[in-house]
Amino acid sequence: MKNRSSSLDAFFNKGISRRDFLKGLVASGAVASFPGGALAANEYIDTKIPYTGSKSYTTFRNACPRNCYNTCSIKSYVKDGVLQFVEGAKESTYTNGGLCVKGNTYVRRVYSPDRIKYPMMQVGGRGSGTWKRISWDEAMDTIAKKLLAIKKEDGNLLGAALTKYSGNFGILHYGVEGMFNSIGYTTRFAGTPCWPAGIDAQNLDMGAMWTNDPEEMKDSKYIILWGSNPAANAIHSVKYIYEAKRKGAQVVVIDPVFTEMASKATRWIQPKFGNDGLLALGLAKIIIDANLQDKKWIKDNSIGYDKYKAYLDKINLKDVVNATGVPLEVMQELALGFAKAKPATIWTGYGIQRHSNGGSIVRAIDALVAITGNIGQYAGGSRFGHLDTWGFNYHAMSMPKPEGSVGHVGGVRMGDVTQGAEGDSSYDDRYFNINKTAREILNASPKIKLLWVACKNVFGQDFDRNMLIKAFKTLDMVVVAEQFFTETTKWADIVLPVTTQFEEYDVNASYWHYWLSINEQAIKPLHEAKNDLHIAALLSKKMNALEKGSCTFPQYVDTKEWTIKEFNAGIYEKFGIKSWEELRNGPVKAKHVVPYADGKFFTPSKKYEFYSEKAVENGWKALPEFVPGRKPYDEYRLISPHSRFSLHSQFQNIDWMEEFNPFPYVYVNPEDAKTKRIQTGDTVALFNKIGNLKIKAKVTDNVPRGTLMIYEQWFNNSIHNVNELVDDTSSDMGAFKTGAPGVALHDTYVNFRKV
Amino acid sequence: MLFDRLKIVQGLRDLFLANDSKAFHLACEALEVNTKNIDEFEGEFNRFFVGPKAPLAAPYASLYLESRGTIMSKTTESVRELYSFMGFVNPKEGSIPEDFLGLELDAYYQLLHVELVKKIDYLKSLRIFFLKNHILTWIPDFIESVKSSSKKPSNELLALMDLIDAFFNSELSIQGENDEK
Repeated sequence: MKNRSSSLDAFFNKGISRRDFLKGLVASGAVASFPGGALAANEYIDTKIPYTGSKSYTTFRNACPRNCYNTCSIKSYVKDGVLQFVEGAKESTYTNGGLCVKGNTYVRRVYSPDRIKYPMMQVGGRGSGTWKRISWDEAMDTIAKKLLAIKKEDGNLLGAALTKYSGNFGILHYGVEGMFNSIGYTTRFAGTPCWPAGIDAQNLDMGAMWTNDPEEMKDSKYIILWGSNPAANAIHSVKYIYEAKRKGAQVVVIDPVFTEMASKATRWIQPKFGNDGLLALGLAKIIIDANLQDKKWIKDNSIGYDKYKAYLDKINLKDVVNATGVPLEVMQELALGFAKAKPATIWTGYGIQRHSNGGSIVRAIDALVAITGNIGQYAGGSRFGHLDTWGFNYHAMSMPKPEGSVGHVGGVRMGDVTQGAEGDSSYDDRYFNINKTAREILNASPKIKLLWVACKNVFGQDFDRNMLIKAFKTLDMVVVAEQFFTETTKWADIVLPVTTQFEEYDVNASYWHYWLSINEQAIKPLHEAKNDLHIAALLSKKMNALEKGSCTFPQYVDTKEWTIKEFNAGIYEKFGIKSWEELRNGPVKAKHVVPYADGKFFTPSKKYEFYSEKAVENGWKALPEFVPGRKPYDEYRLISPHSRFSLHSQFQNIDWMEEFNPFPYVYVNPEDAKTKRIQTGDTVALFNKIGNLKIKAKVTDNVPRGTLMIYEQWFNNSIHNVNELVDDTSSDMGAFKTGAPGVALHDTYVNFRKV
Repeated sequence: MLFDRLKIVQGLRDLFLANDSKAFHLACEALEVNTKNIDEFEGEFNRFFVGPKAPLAAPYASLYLESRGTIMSKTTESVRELYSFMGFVNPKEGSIPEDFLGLELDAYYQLLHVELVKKIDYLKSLRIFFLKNHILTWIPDFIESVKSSSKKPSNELLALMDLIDAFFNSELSIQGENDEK
């Protein structure tokens, strides 16, 4: 490409000054004679130089709304209405002036020529690739008429379904749920694909999912990163781990894969997959056998310890060694080291609970932290996540149903964050398990006719791609609100361009750290993109024009005003601020609290429950017993963890990421590669009972023998989709607190061959 | 000839600014696009220039004049500055980049209209500057990116590219004379 300029200097060097030229322009009558078009005649030309470019930046406060531990506080620099660059907010000690490799690409994301720019309709049939532009009015008219037709045909709107998750976790984006609340009783794909088994486990043990401040880790004496890989996926936490390490702390990574974090640890332990629960129980047994348990903490804070100990007594450590592959002396060193250090902490990654026995694993790890008295300790804790700072008003979703709405009877509400007010009607929305999207669509009665997708790439994140295609073919209309053309938009009838966080107001909290950030609108919406709330308002206007009273969503929304409505006295008290406007000076942190330091748990007994009646009520073991994992149904285990170049299916399509990570790979252990006569760079076919996938191989002993690894990612120029092979088999837990179990996606099995 | 110039650039403008099928079809009619299947041509046009899938040849000058690979760049600012001296404002400043082909065609059409129809040639020298120092610095590369795209363009699309090429080259050879017949 050439770097040429159309600078006006060359023009004005010919003798006429800019000022004189403008004087002449006014006098010439040219401007008054413009025929009109997309560019308008400037009615207010004066002889001041009209455009010289701003000399300074205007700064704005933003927050990364993606589903990520970091939820970075961002400072944005805008000049002449254009976002120039972004940086981590220095006011947050967590973000500490930095962003991650993905966040640094934000300017390129906003101004990518690949963005979806206009509402469009696929006219050659779903998947045909033949699209035409439509106006927002036509888009809303088409959708509104379909919704009203469903209501007329079925007598209710259960045929209209919403699937939305974490593509944008900004609080105002719960307005999408609000939009669906406002049209009547509908169908919701709810629950959570992320962490439900772990949420249930922590709720059974402690009555809540609540975690210590990650910034405390700098003072931890022993840190176990169990299946978590912050070097790739929670980069801002790593500095605290490094600081602890510098001060002499042991940093142990337990992971079957040699991860980026494993390379930075003082020790890496590589257990076999799926038996981590047994490993935790074995470690606990060693600690108790050595009489190193914290007897006072256990006595003061827990119930069921004796039953737990009796269960441990029955465990044979040789069985643990065999099942986990971790040598006894390694287990002893780890167990005794952890027990003797205080404060000590375990950070359990989300991948560990994406097994058929995932909830039981998290319970076993919680118990290990508990017996050492590290729960309720500064710099201790069994770390998983929290929603402690999410006490917003959720005004955007609090729309009443239109009068006379008819809905579902006897439904079970789902979700890690509420779906909106229940109301006093005998009806409810119909809730389907978000982790079984394809199956639920195919089995739905009454049938789903319209599916609205927001903040989500269904084909990137939901399971069993081939079943999804089959399911999407049964739908009458698919509406996808997106920033980029994903595989989900490929199967849409209507795509609606949505704004990035820089083009709208919002407020963001984290499920990991304790900072709160305002997200100011820094630039105008690009092209014809609209915020999710503005789309809801447009839909409401159209529905009410077609049938008065059919939608209760306001027909005008100002995202700034709606952001203010999310704040309440509780939020102000928690963060020690008097007004949301203080956030314009930078992010603020919640008042420091060590979870459970007061010994008060939220369980039925108000104690830590090694033995949980609630677990029994839900059909699980009362104790954190070992539960065997899913039986292999093919030769090789396939895992699909997160890549550091993408956030689920976001970011990988941005050019900078593509440059670093242009192709998807399957990672193969050298021994397995030898068996299959495969070398790095070869294309291999992976196949199992639900699908097949062709992909290049990379041979590495970072993955253990018998295991293949493919990062879950969406590539811009590739059909690659690991969910071609991942089915929707459930994990054990999740239904207790989120309404539906999670997915055992790391219990996927495949075979493979060289192509 | 006089009105052909206006008709062509107006048609091209309307094509690149078309916000629905109706406007697209009208622009095609005005340009006398010879196609058997107008809907198919519209689909192809959108695949190359509009979306929703990443356009094969996004029509923004920035992408051809700078190595950044993003829109709203220095080129955009420089075209905005040009417009301001022409007496234009972009009502969608900040949303639609000034160096979007649709806007550049609009500016060119309006300038030519003032000259040819209203007989005011105050902005003629600036129009020629715009043509030589900006439009023709990127349009050939844009056309080339269509022709060499991984997806082979149809004859109709190639004809459209030839029309754009011929139009601006003709404008260059005319040098903005407004009285040729």
